[in-house]
Amino acid sequence: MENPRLKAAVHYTVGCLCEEVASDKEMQFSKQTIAAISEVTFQQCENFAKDLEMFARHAKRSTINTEDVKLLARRSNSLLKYITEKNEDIAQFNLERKAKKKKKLEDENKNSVEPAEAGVVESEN
Amino acid sequence: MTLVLHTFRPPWMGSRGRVAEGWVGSLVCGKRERVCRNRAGELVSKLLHLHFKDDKTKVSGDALQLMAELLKIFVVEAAIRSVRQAQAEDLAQVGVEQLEKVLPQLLLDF
Repeated sequence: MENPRLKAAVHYTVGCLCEEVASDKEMQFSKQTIAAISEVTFQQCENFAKDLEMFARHAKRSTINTEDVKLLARRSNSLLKYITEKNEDIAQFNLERKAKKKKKLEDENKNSVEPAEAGVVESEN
Repeated sequence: MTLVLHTFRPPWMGSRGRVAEGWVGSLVCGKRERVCRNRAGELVSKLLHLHFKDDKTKVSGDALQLMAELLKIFVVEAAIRSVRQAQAEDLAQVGVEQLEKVLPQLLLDF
């Protein structure tokens, strides 16, 4: 995706988020304000990306992980706390999802094995 | 400086447990949360990869979801702090001037 389309996607998402804030606080955002927030966010992504890459490289990794993201959020205590909690929520959610998938797979395997076992019992009789 | 997000907790944020279910990785709010989760992850991934210096750099799935969350907070904080500024100035609309006043502290916090 080229730059202009990426920027447009960011702008759309920023617009949606601002709309929710606006309706919640009963305040309107001017179009220029939304565009400005979108621009700042896009530029901030550059800083985030470069920092994340450096953090991972510093730890001699080529894959950025959640520790790197947490390091990114270090400047404000409440932000760090929020991100750390969010990380635990994500980990927990993914864990539960994996457990559900595993159980579903096990149930499916059990169902496909049962008819065969019944057949064996009958032949023994 | 405390996150304004905590003081002005919007109705769509909910309690910690529910937030994880519906919001993980989602950048767009509303009823399309689950559907948007993958699209948001894709967008964040493209945004990050745009600025990586090394081609070999990758992002883990969890880190991607966390980054989507961080970016969402960034936007929402910018929005809410601007609103607060506009309210303090007794305005009916949030203009760029209000954003400009809150931007320095926002960038320092992130």
